[in-house]
Amino acid sequence: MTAPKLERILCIEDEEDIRKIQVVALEGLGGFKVLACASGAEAIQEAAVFAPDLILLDVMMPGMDGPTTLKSLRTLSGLEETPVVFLTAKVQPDEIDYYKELGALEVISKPFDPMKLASQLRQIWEFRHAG
Amino acid sequence: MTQPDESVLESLAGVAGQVGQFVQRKQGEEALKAIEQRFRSVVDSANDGIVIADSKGTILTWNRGAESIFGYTAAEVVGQGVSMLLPERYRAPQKEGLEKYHKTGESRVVGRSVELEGLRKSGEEFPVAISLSSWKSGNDTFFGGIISDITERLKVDRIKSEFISTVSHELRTPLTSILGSLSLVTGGTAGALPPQARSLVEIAHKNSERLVRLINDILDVEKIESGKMDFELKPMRLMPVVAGAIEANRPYAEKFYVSIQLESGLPEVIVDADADRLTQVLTNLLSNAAKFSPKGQVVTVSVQRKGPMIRVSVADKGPGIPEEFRQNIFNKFAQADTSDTRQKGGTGLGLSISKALIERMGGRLGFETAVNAGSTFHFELPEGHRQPTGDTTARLRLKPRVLVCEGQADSAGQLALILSQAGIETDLARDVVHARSQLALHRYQALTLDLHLPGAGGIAFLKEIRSKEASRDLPIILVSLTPETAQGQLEGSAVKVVDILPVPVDKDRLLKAIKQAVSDPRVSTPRILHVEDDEDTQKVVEMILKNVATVTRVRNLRDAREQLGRQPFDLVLLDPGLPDGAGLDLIGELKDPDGKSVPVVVFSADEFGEELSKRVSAALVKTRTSNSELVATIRSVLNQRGPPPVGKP
Repeated sequence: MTAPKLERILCIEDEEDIRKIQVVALEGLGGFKVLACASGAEAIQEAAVFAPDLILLDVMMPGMDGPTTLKSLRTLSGLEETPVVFLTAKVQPDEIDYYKELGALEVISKPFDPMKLASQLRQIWEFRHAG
Repeated sequence: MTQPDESVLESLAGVAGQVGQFVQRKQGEEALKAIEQRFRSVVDSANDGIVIADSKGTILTWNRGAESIFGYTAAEVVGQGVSMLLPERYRAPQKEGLEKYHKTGESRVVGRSVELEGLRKSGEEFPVAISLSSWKSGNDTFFGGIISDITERLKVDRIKSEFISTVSHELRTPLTSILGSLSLVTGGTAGALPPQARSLVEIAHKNSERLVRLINDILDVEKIESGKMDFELKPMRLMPVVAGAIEANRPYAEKFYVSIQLESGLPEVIVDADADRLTQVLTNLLSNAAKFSPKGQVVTVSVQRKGPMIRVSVADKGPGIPEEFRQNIFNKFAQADTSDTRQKGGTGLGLSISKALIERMGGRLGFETAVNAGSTFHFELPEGHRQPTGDTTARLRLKPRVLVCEGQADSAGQLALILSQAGIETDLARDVVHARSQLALHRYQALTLDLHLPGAGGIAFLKEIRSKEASRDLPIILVSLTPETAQGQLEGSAVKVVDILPVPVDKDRLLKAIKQAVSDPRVSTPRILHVEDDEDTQKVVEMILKNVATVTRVRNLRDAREQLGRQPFDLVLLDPGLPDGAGLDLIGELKDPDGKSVPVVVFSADEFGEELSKRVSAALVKTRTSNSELVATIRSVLNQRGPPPVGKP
């Protein structure tokens, strides 16, 4: 069985600067098709049409936080099982356990290295499809 | 935020005992009054609630501390049952617990500290910590409780941990943008930069990385100090970790034109450690050595045996550590205050963290240095004796395994040497924290304890061991420089030990005590799980099997599964008709930790067919089986299982 290719990534991140860096890192360096949303609400509106292969999700966001956004995304058609990677500065051991319980495939801690972000996500993707 | 002070309770019990003795000896009312006065003043001056109750749980004494915690005056509670201080849901279990204690002497709360909710006069529930003890005076039993209100403590813990999480998040968010942008620019994604601009951006990049390290280090320090750092101590080969750390730090060293060489190693050596934390320490020592080495020099790493310890040394040929700075080197934010060292980009926390990490792994960190000749930093960890990947084989080995809890390196070495020469597997614990984790990870046949073990008063730790299910019956041998004092401390504490050995330890006496401990019937007795919903049958069976096995009683499938997950059993005695499902469903699940099936003896009120008999080791019908038949069947099944066999059926 050949693994499906990782092509489309939905980034949800409230900090504009970090969003820009994500786009450079994933679109410019990684060659992915990226949709960057500034809030959970925006992501919920756009996600189904964009049909991402993977979601990169911030945790601490005003309004709807990461876990709440994830729960809402899961109710959308086609996004029931889309893999989610949390990208967050909140990485105490119990916090990481909590994200995993929510169904996160992996947790990448902030600050992250944008030079490596694309290859990190590719590895996570390949590991998932290998296992 | 005070914990109930057990020593106060002990001294109260001591004083009460003295009162009794004085009355018996009729040695005059004056002495009695003096003691009574002492007793009163201790009780009344305590901030904690101190409550004494009689055998039925009726409150006899109520101090001012209890008054301010619960809101009742002494007049309102003396003569009432203690259950009024508990929320409704605890009352029935409390009553049952009290009855059980009178019948069996067993209790989940007497002799230990528990945290639960109390009930104030106002009806408000609040968290309390209670230390409960009991003593006899004549034919009467009394209970004494020291109670503290831990509302504030829990609140402060929560606020602190939320604060740290928030601060780390708030600092990291802007840093993510700064570091991310700089990384992209220096990585060339924005096109080539003129040399001068490039060098300036690199400075900014390097310093943002430093700021991130600083935040991470501060968080580490906080976690270590609050005891929240997770350690996963397990046996591992040391050399691959050392080699991995050297490789990972080579590029960093090359920036300083320094190379790293592994000078000597011990290929097979095993240590009990947390691989990530060990790598963190090695990285700290290697990067320090590289930073402070002159250009073109070599940092050498060596791994050697030092008695029962394994020493890893990292040596540099740097400027050495100035005399006046040596004693502060492990302090937080300690950096030798010269412009030269300030420029090295460290956080000033690395060595302090490394020292704490190594100590938590049961080792120690030290250094030797000579000005202008270089420094050698080394850490020592106790050598492990268990195979890293062979957990199953380790379990199958019949060698007894002993935990040596000893703060003094010399004594630890001596004990480990004697025990290992006698073919006994030995693990070392340098302090209470390490001992706790070892006890949580492994099953020991005995434990030796230094009453001056760093981390807690020895007697308190002894009681803690006794309060945990897994180690309640663990044979303990005390090792003490002052055995008489140890004996004195033990008296009245109701904690039993196998022997108290003076230091230096006499080899023969130690081995005799270990032999006695290992053959302690509570340890070598087979364990039977009795799954039966009828309490009377359970009691009868337990009595019948009293001399054959230790019986754990459960009344339904759910509890049976829980027990099976918690400890190994040698046999399961099963009633197929259980309230929450067919008991026979359990048969397929019964495996011991080595994957071997656990024998099942069915003990049923109903007749059963041949099909069932085939699936179990034996099937007995309740009314048709005599006591001696039950014992004989169980002995026979246990003996078939061995080793060691106790005689053929």
